[in-house]
Amino acid sequence: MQKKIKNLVLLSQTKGKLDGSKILTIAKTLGRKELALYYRMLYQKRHEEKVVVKTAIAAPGSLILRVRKIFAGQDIIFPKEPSLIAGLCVQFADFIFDASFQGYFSSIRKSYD
Amino acid sequence: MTKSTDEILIQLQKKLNAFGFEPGLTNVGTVEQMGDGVVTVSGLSKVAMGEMVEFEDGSTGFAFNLDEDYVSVILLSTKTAITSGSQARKTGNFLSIGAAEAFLGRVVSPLGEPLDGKPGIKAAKMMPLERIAPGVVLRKSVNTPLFTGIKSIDSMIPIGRGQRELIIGDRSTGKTSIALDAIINQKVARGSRRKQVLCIYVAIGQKQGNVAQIVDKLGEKGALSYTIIVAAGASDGAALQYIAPFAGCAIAEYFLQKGQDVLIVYDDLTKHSFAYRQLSLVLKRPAGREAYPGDIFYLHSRLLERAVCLNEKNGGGSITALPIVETQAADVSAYIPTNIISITDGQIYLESDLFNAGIRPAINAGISVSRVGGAAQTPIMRKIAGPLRLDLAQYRELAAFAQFGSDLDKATQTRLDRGARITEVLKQTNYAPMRQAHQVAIIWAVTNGFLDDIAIDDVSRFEIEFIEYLENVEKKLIDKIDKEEKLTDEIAKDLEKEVIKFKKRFKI
Repeated sequence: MQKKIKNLVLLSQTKGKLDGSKILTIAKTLGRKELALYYRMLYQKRHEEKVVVKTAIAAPGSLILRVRKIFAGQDIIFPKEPSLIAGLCVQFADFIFDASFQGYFSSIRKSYD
Repeated sequence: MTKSTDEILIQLQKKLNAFGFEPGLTNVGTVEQMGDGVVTVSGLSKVAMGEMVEFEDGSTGFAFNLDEDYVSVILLSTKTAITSGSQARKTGNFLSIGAAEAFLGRVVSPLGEPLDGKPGIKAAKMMPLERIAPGVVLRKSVNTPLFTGIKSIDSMIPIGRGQRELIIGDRSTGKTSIALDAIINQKVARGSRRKQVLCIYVAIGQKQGNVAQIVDKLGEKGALSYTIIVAAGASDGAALQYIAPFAGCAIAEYFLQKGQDVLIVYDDLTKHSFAYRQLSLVLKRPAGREAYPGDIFYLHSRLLERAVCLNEKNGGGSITALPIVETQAADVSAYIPTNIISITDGQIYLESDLFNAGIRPAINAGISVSRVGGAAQTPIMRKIAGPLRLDLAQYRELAAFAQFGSDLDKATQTRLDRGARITEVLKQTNYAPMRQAHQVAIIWAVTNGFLDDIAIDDVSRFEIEFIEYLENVEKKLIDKIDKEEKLTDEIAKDLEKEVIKFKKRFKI
């Protein structure tokens, strides 16, 4: 079943991005269990497509331009996360690039645990 | 480990002064579901098999199944606050345990945490739980005896340092007692030139009460100072029971690297197999014979192959393994027992019938074997124990005719009498290992017929008093037997003289 749903997720895309109308059409044909798995895989896919750039203060324009250049064609959001103190934290797919003070202090703390 | 506040502040100050910002790239995943001690995580595309994974709440686990879209992580922490949707990150570390001299005398969990209520232990070195066994070139053949102090074993089923000798039998046949006797016998007297053999006892799936009793017994006999106990109890979950023997082996390898000899007891591998089966079934791995996963043999072979005797160029240390397997209704042809029999260098087979008949240790010398054999015995013991096995084998063959006592010819009757006395001599109380010189003396006496005229009921008393006599009156002979490599004519004459002298004093 997993392979079938995986193929359906691939079919739900247009030009590499998830297409809402296709998703609705496919969802109508699925049973309860299959729908649950389809939803979970779509969520994962969506998560992979999105790039989240967290900054302690509102992201400056220059940073936004640079990030858009690196991740061209992908959905990017720039939420504020004051707990980072300074720096930024970029999450894309299953990677986190942590260039924040909070991350640095966490690593110092771990070295004492 | 606790550090003083001042120390921490000084180190923090140093780090801040040398501030160099290095951003980190971490591979993360999202918890999809959790149950039965297994967490299914999506993402974690770069995690390796057996790599440690950390969760948001601080819990840890290790990656055990790498599927196309998911990673199954076995949880090591029992109390967790992991929820669906929380984050998991790979740590880059593999499962390892801290090892140090300070572990001696302590009871620890397979993660290195103290279980004996004493303070935490600072690890000198982190040892990986999974490690490739040393290759052929690094090894040498097993040629140094590991004395267990049990007459039947040291004479007929000798164990050498670096050997794997399986102890197999039904429940309550004395398997653990044999292992504990072997540990207690490793005690080296102060001032002795003998090299101390360190001991590690791995308790897998046992009752906490049993482990406590073992700790008490070892403490009472003064064996705890050179023993480490790694315990994963019955309530500890399959993950800890699965890694317990590997943790014990990792600690043993720490001492091996320092050139020391280590004895490790795995009690028992049957419960270890159960734990591994449980994990594999929860992970939906294909089930094979008796519902065990297909790699159950590899589980034990890679563990037991790490028992080694290294050559001098590589330190000269050794790890001797005594795995214990519990059979059901004496079935040694079951799956797990046959697997481990084929891996080990011999087995000590314990029978319930012998145990119930009062023959303790209940070792069936006929089917017990040590594939290292005489190479792991001193020449003197090898010479003396030679006729022992044959005499016992003949006795067993003739035992069926014992009921026809008066109808037997003299030679047969003599063999039966000799066999009965040998059986009596080989009996031994538990937690009372015997010195090699004492074993040599009494076995020599019985195989040369000096006990043939002693009543069977008096044989054990004769043995005790004879050994006492030798220790108190003729200590020189005992010391000579210890020092001499071979059974010289002089020693034989002295032994004969002392036995005859003692028999005159012995009151029947």
